[in-house]
Amino acid sequence: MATATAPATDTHHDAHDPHATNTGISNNKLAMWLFLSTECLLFGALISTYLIYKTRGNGEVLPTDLFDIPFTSVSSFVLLMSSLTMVLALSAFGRNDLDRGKAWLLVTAMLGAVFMGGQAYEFTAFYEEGLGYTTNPAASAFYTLTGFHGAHVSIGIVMLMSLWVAANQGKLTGKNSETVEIVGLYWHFVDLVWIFIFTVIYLIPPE
Amino acid sequence: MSETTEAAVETHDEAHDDHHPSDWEYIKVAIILAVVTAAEVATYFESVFTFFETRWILLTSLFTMMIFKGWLVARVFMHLKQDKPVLQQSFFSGVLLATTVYIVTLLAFNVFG
Repeated sequence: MATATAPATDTHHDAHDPHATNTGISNNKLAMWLFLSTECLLFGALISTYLIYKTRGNGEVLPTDLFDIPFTSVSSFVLLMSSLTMVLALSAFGRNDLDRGKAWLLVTAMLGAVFMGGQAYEFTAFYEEGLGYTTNPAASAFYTLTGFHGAHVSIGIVMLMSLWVAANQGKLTGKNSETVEIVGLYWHFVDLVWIFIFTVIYLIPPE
Repeated sequence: MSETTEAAVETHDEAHDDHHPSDWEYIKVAIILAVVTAAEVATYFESVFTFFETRWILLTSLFTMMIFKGWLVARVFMHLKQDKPVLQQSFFSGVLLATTVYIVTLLAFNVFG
């Protein structure tokens, strides 16, 4: 084997060492998938609670009276596109194209921040219309559900920025791109949950 | 490099090429997702598509589009299509358990009327 090829092959094998497990999948990746599996139960509980309470307004305004579908559609689109930029970041790190990978990570975090800005605007607008957290059971269930989702997006942004800082410090390269993949799984899951929330909570009109 | 080693490395590289879709494939999936989202939002404007005034048509359309979008994100963006089946099984067992538990809960609370 030529000398020039040897280090490249070593790097290649180093990158694969974490996969040397009984399942053939790295433990970190399997753990993330199992965690996401349990998150389905958390969000399932929150969505169900909202569906049970959504008409209980105690004579006060309901969240469904205040929904601004065109505005939320734009937010949803932004979050959906952040999933694209996330896979493009992973793809770039996989090719060891660090500059592009860092740029896509930053764009993903920015899109997440835009989504959070939209949620902050929505919550403020609802509050000004008289829908506080304790106004009625419907409001509590709505704020809890969307607030939990927002907290997940915020945690995702922190993880993305941590990756970006690590990449800038040279601690994240194509060799350990699985870290980007694991954070990406979390990010896509958050997007997946919003796909369900957007349809079930926002788009299905009350009877 | 011996021929055998070269072949092994090539096979390994090919396997990696298959492992994840290309950037263009990701972009195509994102375009599909954007179009389906636009279709979902269009159902909100009943004046555009009057047949969505029939509730069962509206609900069936929305749920179909929602499941299709979720399936695409999980399969392509989360790489379930290429990854080991055990990941798919562990994730979908959670999805199935959550769906079953909460549909039963919603039925118990008479949410579906």
